Amino acid sequence: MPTLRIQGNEIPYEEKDIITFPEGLVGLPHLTRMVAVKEATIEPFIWFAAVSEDDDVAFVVAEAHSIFPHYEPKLPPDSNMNGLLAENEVPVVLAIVLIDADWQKSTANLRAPLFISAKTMRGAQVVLNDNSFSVAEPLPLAATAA
Amino acid sequence: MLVLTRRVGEKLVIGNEIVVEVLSISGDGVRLGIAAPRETSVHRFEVFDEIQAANRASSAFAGGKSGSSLAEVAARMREKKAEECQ
Repeated sequence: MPTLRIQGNEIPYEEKDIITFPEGLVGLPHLTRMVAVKEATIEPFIWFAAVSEDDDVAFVVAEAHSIFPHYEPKLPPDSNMNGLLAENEVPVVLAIVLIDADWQKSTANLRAPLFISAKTMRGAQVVLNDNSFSVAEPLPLAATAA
Repeated sequence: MLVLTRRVGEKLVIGNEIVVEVLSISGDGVRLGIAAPRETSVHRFEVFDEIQAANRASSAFAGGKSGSSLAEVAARMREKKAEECQ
């Protein structure tokens, strides 16, 4: 079974787990094959790692609606998700998270979320037209950890 | 950088498929119409640049430097959720 390297750990994955991003991510067009990896210690976050021979690239992402219940991004009519969703399919929406060395400053990118079709296993990073969504929205964090 | 002069109503082609038309000019603003294949995204540069920078900053994390910070943030996210459910 092929593996990904995330923070020095070898994580096995299967070919069927690969989500294809035909145009890559914004500014990172080579990231076209990604795999989501769940890990209990970082829940509710999910690793989102690139399948790449050259380097080990992984993002921390989160299911956007579960963290920001009022977040309901609308796909622009001419978005790059056109043609990637199955008929009447509701896409999975993930926000890329930026973990700051100062944890309190960690944020999520709500302006350009990842839309993914679980049926076609294809996705795109969509830049939303609504500029009230922040590229760096502070995460809802408890004052103390359990 | 290639520099060309176009008038209102004139177009140019990038590659074989992307057509840019000058629709109107008003003061120092230029209105452009862009026809591109659906798989080609078109963004205002400032927005693109901001998101590109955010993506790169987020992917740099994967190298693994701030691992303890990640666990800390995850724990506080779970705690926050638990507080809200009470």
